[in-house]
Amino acid sequence: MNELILNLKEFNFLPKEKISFDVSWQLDNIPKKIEVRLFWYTKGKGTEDSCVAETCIVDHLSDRGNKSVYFTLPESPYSFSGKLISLNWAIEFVVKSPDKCIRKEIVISPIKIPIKLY
Amino acid sequence: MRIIGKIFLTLFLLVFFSMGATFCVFLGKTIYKRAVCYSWQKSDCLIESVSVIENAEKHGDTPYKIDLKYSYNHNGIQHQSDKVMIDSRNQYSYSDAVMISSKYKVGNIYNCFVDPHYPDRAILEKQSIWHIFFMLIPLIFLAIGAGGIYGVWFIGEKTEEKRVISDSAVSSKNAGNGVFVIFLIIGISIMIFGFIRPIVGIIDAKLNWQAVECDILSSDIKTNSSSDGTTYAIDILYSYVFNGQEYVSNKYDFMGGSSSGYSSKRKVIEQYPQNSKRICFVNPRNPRIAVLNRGISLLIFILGVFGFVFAVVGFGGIRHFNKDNSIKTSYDPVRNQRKSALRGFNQKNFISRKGPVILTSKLTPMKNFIGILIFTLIWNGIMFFISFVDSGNIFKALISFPIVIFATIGFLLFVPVVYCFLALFNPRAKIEINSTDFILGDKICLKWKFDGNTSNISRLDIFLEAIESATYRRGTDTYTSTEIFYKKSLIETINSFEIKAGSCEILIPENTMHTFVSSNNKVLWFIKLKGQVKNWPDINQEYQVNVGPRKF
Repeated sequence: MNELILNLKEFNFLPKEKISFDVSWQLDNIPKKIEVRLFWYTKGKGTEDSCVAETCIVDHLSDRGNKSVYFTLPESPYSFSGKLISLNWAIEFVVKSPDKCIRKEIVISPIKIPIKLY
Repeated sequence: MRIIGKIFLTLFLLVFFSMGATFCVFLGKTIYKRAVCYSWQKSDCLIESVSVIENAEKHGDTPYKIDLKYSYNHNGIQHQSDKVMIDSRNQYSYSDAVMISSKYKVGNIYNCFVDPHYPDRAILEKQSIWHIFFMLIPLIFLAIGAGGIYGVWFIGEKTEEKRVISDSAVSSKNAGNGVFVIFLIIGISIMIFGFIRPIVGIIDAKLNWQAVECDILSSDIKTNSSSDGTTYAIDILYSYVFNGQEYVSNKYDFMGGSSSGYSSKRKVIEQYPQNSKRICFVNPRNPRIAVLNRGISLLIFILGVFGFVFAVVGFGGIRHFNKDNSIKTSYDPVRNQRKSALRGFNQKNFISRKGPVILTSKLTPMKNFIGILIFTLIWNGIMFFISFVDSGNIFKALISFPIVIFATIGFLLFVPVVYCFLALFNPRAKIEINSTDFILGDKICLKWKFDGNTSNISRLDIFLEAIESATYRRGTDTYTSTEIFYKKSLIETINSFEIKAGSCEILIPENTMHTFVSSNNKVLWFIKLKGQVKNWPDINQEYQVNVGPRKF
């Protein structure tokens, strides 16, 4: 059984805030890659864009383990929601072979909620 | 994806698939036919007769065929054949037919190649199969079509939870890349074979070929009727003497071929009546090759333009997709952390400046006018050319546009041309602001001053505006939608003194979105100036400003 856990307690942050959380995994075999990515992506009418801001790579691959992850959130772009597009930040815990992924959405903005454009 | 969307996408991909499959089949059959001959057995053959005769059916500028008969012995049985090559329709221009047939003398023995399974079949020459490499092009079409259809119906769509969204940011291959590679290959091929090679040949002819007097033996127009319509080709047969030897040719110019447009070809024929003497131009390195007209035909330029457009589209598309794919953050190998990549604002296209700055606009009235004028001239030029080629007469062309709707659009395009031309005479405002690089919560201090006569400006508006912009694709078309989410007036006035020059300030709100630019989605801030002019095009000036995030 393949299981990933991303232990994030808070989901709303200010730009440049330092965050830390734990991840743990239990897999049927030793994977090829284990990474935790902080990234933003767009949703809405326009074709999806995305960009990874930070990545934490697990060096010593094993079929089970845990790791503390530390990210410094960037200054921008803010999470926002408009009539046409919205921008969301998220943290993805990604394992390759076996392919598994768990994602938690977060908000980065000066008011700790997505900026509304309407 | 909904079932209707899947069906439409499948139909679209079927076009790619069927184009690729059709070309693969045709090209594959030709290559197979030729390749099989390489396994045929060599035998001696005796040439019994050889001559060049005119085809009973007229075939444009290749109305001659080689009448060649030879005999050979295979396993003790005598056979006869008349085939020179396996894959040939036996249609040539006169000089090509003479060139091939002159290799074989009656009574001489040559090698021929016999099909071991059907000894009645034999050829004198094997043909090359190097153009097997051209199979790559239809195979790409085939792969895109088949792969796309398979993906649409058989690859399960991942739900949002299962999809690894960040994978597309880490590395992404875009199928569009493949399509644009095809455009680039086709464009370069057309430019090389349809433009550059003929041009090089023509330049060589102009510099090195020798002018020789020739006798016009016959002068006519060949008609070629097919389901697509009737086309005509110039067919002038002439003889000339070069270095004491007599030659015959029927090449009029370098392009040859047949096309619609009878009257233009009739004019050419009238210049070369039968039994007259004219000048032809002979290739001194191969005197069998000669032409009557060594000028550049319009077709060569058209092919050059087509090839160029295809190549530019292909190159631009490849650059665009690879630019997207190359957005990667840099690695810091220490502590397994990447350097934070502040993406979302493309600094490359925006020069931020502090201190009083005179704003400049990317789009000026002159650029608008030139742009719409060029487009109008190209559109109407193409329509006129199509009509002129068809009718062969400039006056008929003006009144006989074959494609009425496109011609009407071309005519209507002159309206914005006139509008943009009149706008050139409007006064322009110089706008000075305290910076082009703001952050949320900053104050914009702005001064304006009009050059020229402002007495006709009835109202002036200057405002700060912010928009969301979303670009998306439907099929092969790209669309961009915009939505204004912030608009605040800096000045609205009808006072002529205030219109002429003035200053104002505005505070950028704090809790809104800063400038954001990614490939398909944007948030942009503008300062816009609009001047209403009585009975004349309005003044519209627009300047993009950078509004960055608040400092933390």
